[in-house]
Amino acid sequence: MEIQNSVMNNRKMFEQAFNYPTNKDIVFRDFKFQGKEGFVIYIDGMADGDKISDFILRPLLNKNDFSDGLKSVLQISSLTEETDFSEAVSAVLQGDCALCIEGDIKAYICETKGFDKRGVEKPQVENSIVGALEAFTETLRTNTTLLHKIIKNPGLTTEMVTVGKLNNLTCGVVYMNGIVNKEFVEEVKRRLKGIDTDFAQSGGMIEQFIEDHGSSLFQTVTTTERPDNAAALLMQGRIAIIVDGSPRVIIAPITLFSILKTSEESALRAPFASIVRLIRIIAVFAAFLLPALYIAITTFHAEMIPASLLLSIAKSRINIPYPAIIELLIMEFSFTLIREAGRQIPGALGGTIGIVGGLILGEAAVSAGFVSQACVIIIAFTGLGNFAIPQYQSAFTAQLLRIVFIICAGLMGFLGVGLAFVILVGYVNSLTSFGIDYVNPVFSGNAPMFPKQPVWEYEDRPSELRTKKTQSQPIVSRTWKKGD
Amino acid sequence: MDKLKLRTYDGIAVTGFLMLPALFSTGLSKLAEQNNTAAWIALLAAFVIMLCLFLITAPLMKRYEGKNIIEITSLVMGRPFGVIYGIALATYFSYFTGVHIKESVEILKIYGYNLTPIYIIAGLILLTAVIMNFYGGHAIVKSAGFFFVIIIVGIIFIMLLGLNRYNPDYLAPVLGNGISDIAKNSLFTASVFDNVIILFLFAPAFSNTAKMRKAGVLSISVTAAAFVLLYLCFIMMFSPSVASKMMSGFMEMGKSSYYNHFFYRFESILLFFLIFSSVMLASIGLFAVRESSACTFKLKPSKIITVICAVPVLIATFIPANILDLTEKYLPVIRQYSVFFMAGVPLLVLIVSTVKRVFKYEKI
Amino acid sequence: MKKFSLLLGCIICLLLLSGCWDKSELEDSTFTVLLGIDKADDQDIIITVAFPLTQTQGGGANEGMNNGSGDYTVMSVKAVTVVEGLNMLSTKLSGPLALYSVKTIVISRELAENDMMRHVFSSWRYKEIRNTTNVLISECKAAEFIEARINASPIDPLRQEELLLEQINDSAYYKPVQLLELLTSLKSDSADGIAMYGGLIKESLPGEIPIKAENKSQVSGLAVFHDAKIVGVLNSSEAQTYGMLTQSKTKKILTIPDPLDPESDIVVSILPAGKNKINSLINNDIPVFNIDIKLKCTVECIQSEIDYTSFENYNILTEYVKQHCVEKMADLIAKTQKEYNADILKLGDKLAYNFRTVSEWESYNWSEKYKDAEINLNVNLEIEQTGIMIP
Repeated sequence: MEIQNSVMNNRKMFEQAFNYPTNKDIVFRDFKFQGKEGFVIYIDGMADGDKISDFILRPLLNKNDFSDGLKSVLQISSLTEETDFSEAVSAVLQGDCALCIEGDIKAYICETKGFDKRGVEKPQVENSIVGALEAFTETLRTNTTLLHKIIKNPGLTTEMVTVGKLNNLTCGVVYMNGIVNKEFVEEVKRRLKGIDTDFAQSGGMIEQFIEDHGSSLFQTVTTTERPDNAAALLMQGRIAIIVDGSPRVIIAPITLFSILKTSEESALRAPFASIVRLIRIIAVFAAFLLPALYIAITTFHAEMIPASLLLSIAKSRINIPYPAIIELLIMEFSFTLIREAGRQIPGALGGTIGIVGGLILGEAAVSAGFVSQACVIIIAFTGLGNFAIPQYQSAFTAQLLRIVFIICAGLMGFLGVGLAFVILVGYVNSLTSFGIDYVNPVFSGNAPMFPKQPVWEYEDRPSELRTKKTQSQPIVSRTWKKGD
Repeated sequence: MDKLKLRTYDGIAVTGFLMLPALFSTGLSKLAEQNNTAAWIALLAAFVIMLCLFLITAPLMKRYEGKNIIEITSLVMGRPFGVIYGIALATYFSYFTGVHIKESVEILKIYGYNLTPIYIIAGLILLTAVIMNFYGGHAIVKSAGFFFVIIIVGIIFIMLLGLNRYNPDYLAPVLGNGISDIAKNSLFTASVFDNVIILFLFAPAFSNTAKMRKAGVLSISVTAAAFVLLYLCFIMMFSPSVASKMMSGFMEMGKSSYYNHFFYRFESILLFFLIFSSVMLASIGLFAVRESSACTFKLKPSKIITVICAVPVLIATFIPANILDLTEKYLPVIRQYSVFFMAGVPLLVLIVSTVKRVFKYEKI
Repeated sequence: MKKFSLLLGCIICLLLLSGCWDKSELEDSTFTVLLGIDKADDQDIIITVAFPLTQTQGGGANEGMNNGSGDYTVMSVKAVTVVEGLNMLSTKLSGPLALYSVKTIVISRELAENDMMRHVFSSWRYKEIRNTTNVLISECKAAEFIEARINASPIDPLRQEELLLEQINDSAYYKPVQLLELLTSLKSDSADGIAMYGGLIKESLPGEIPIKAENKSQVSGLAVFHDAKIVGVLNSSEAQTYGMLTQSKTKKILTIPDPLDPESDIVVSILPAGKNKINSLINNDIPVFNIDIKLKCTVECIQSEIDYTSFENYNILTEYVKQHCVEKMADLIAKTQKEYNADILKLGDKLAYNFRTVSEWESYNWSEKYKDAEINLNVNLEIEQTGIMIP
C-alpha cells in the first residue's frame, strides 16, 4: 500500500493498522501547516515527546516563512521520505514518528527514538582483569556505537534484516567491508531472510535458526557480550549479527578453538597466554574425560594404579553399598543440582548456596558412607574444569559428553572410552560452520591454539575465512626494533 | 556427498593406518620367527622393493589424471576386467579389514577383556567404523590425521620406555638365517607395505598426482622407519627366541618396562593405541570397500551402501575359528602374499597401457 | 534418525542389563604382595600368597599372623600347578585374587634344583603375572621366608617390596632380577641367568650377613642357573664382585688390609667409571675374551691414619686396591667356569658377533666351550675421591 494524497485517508489507514482508538499506545497530533491539514503519529513511550514538541511541532507551528518546504522547517537530525505505507508503519513501530500532510503522497519519517534503555554496564559472564569493562546492551544502536568506538574505519558496515513475521525483530549484520569475504555476508543475509516464523524472540533463537547443524552438540556460532572481543573477531574477517533486544552478539563463522579463546589473551604476554590456553585445554579434557577414566581404571584396569593408592582407594570404598559408577552418577547429579540451584537464586545468596552445598554436602556424604573421598575429589576437579570453559553453551556440551563417556567407561572400560572418543572426533570433524571446516589444526596454521604467538607474529588472517586482505600486519611489525 | 579432497598429510595418515596396526599385534613376533635377528634387513629390503613398485606404477595415474585405478583398468583392459578388479579389490579390503579386526580383538581380549565375548568387541568396533562412515569420508580423513599423530607418539613412547633394558647383543649374529633367506623373505615382507596402493583408489581426491606420489613415498618411509626401529627395540629387549613367542610385541614391551616404583604400569594405556589404530583401520578399510564398490557399480555412496559393505567385513571377521587359524592360515595372506595382487595388477595395467600406446591402440 | 537412536538406546540397555563381563570392583579384589612356590613331597607344589586385609576375608583373618604395621596375612595351598593353585586360593577369599600387584616371586631352592622350568616358567604364559616382578630363590621354604618377611617388618611390606626392586638401600650384596630377565637368559643358548638369593638368618652359614633383628628374613647373594636349574650360589661378597664385573651402579664397599700396615684396614667404595669393553675372538676353536673394566674408587676410611698424600704412597694404594679387585674378579670367573659352567657374565652374547648366521652360532655349541674360554681382564682403577679429608 502507498501513502495517499488525502490526509484523512492516510489517517484512516494508520488508525486501522494500529487499532486506534482502542489501542491507547498510539498518539495522533493534528496540526495545520500553510493552511493544509496534517498529523503526526507516534507510539507513546517509544518516541521522545520532547523531541517531537521542540523540533517538529514548534517550528511547524511558529515559522512563518515556508517557502523552502518542510525539510527546512523541521529541525530534526534525521528526516526521510517514505512512500510505502508498511515501511512507515515499521518506522513508527521502531520509535520514529510519521508526519503526513494533505496533498503530499509521502510520509515524513523523523528520528525521535526515546524509549528507556539500560546503560552500558560491565560484562556479566566474560569478566576481564586487564581488558575493557564495557558490555553490549539490548539496544541495537548502542551496540553498533560500541563497535564504532573501537573500529574507527569507514569500512565498518551494518546491514539491517528484519526477522519474524509478526514481531519484526531487527537484526544488524555487521562486517568490515574490504576484509570480509562477501560470500559469507550474502550467506548470513540469506539465512536470516530465510527464517519463516511468527515470533523471533531472542538472539538464542536466531542462533539456532541460522546454524549449519542446529541441534548438534557443539555450537557452530559463538556469542560474546564484549565489544572488544567482537571487534577483534570482525577484524579477522568474521561477521557479527546484532539482534535487537539481545545483549549477546552472534559471531559467525567460527572454528572449534574459537570457543576456547578469549579476548583477554591478546592483552597478556605470549608465554602467560600460552599457559592459560594450555590449562584451558587440560580443563576441557578433565571436564569430560576425568570421571570416565576414573571409572574405567578402578573397575576394569586396576593394574594401572600404584599399589599404595590401590589400598587406600579400596579401604575408602569398603562401606559404599553400590558400585563406583552409580556413586559417580549420583555425585554428578548432585553437583549439577547445586549449580542450577545457585544460578536461580539471585544475588550473593546464589554463590553462597553453591559453596555451602558443595562443601557440606560432600563432607556429609563421605561421613555417612554414601560416597568415597576419591569420588568427591574427581567430581570437584571435573566441576572446576567445566567452569574453565568460556562459553556458556559449551559447558553444557561438556556436561552431556561427560555422561556419555561415563556410561561407555562403565560398560567397557578403556575400550568404551576409546570408541566413544573416536566417534566424538569423527563427529566434530564432520561439522561445518557456514561452509568452513569446524576443526582446525591445533599446532599448525596461522594462529595455533597452543603455543600462543606473540602479537607481532600474527601476520596473516585465518586462511579458512578466505578474506580479501590476507595479511593483517607485515612480517616486521615492530619497526622501531632493529633486526626484528 | 561432497567430493573428497585430500592433502599430502591426509594421504600419509590414511595409508599409515592401513600399515601400522601390524606393529601392534602379531606382526613383530612373526617377523622374529621367520627372520630371527635379521628381520630389520629384510624390512629395509622390502621397503626398497615396495618403493620401487610404487614409483614404477605411479606414472600410470599421471597418464590418466583425475581417474582412479578401477576406472583406469576399465579403460585400458576393458569394462569386464575393470568390474572384476573392482570386486576383487572390494573383497580384498573386506577380508583385510575383517581379519585385522579379529586380530585386534584377540589381542584386546588377552590384555584387558578376558571374559567379554568376541562378538561384542568386534561388533562394537565395526559399529564405530560404520558410524564414522556415516559421518562421511571427509570426517574419516581428518580424524585419521588427528589420530596418526597420537599413534606415532605412542610408538616413540614405547621405544623410549624400554631404554634402560635394551641389550644390543641380542642382535648378533647379524645375518640371521642367512642372506638367501633374507632375500626370499623380503619380497613376501613387502606385503606389509603394499597398502600404499590404496592411494591409487583415492587418486582423484588429490589436487595433482605429484602430491599423491609424495604422500605415497612419505607414508612408506614413515611406516618402514617405524617398523625397523620398533623391531630393533623389540629384539634388543627380548632376545629372538623369547620374542618370537609373544602374542603382541608392542604390549609386552610396555608390560616389561620399569623405571621406578612410580613409573612402570603402562600396559593399560597402550590399550588406547591399540583401540585407536584398529578402529581407524576398520573405518578406512570400510571406506575403501565402499568406494571401490561404488566406483565399480557406478553407485552414489550413501548410508545404505555403507551398511551393505559392512556385511562382508563382518563375515570376514568371523571366518577364523580360533587363534591358530588366524595366525597360520588367514593372516599370512595379508602379510605375505598380498603384494602380488596389490602391486601386481597396477603393474600389469601399466604394461598393457604402455604396449597399447606404443602400438597406438589407445582409445581415450 | 529417530529409529537409529532408538535402536542404539536398546543396544545400550541390553549391554547395561546383561552385565559387564570384565568388571571387578576395587574393594572386592585381594592384592597379593608376595607369591611363594615350594616343592611338596610328591610331584605337587605349595603356593603361598601374602596380602593385606582390606576387609574380613571369610576366615582368612584367623589363619596367618597379623603383623603390627597393617593387617597382612599369609595363606598356602597345595596344588599340582601354579595356575591351579592360585585358582584354588580364590575359594577362601571373598573376591578375585589380583596378581598384578605381586612384587616378588619366592621360589625355594629345592624346587629350583629340579623343576623350576616346568612349574614356574611355563606359567609365564599366564597373563596375570607381570614380567617386572622380582624373583628370589630362598634357602628355606618359601612359605617360611614369606611369613618371616611379612611379620615384624620395619615398614609396610608393600613398600618394602617395592623398594627392594630399586635397591635404594644402596648395597651391592644382591642384585634385583626381574622375571623377564631371568626367563630370557634361561631360554637363551648364549648366556645364563642369575636370581636374588635369600633366606632366614642363621649364624652358622659363612657368607651370610649376620644381622640381629626381629625380622629374620634376609636377601643377600645371587643364585646361579645353568640349563634351567640352579647350580650354585654366590655369597654376598661374590655378589659384590659380580656387580663390579657388570658395572652395576650401586656402591660396592670393600674392606681391604692397609698395604703399609697389615694390622689395619682401609675401606673403599667402588663405582663404575664407564662401560665395559669386551673384545672377543676365536683362536683355534677356543674363545678368547679381553675385558676392559674401568672403575673409580672412593676412600671412605683409613684406620691407620697413614699419610697417603705423597704420590708414591698414593700409587701404592691405587695399585693395591686394583690388585685386590682383579684377584676377586678372576676368582669369581674361575668359579663360574670350573665349578658351575655358567656364563653369568653373558660373554656368549658378545661372541655371537663373530658369527654370520644363527645356524653357525648354534652349531658352535657355546655352552660346552665356556669352561675352556680364555678370559683376560684389564682393570683400570682410579682413586677419585677421598671423602672430606685429604688421604
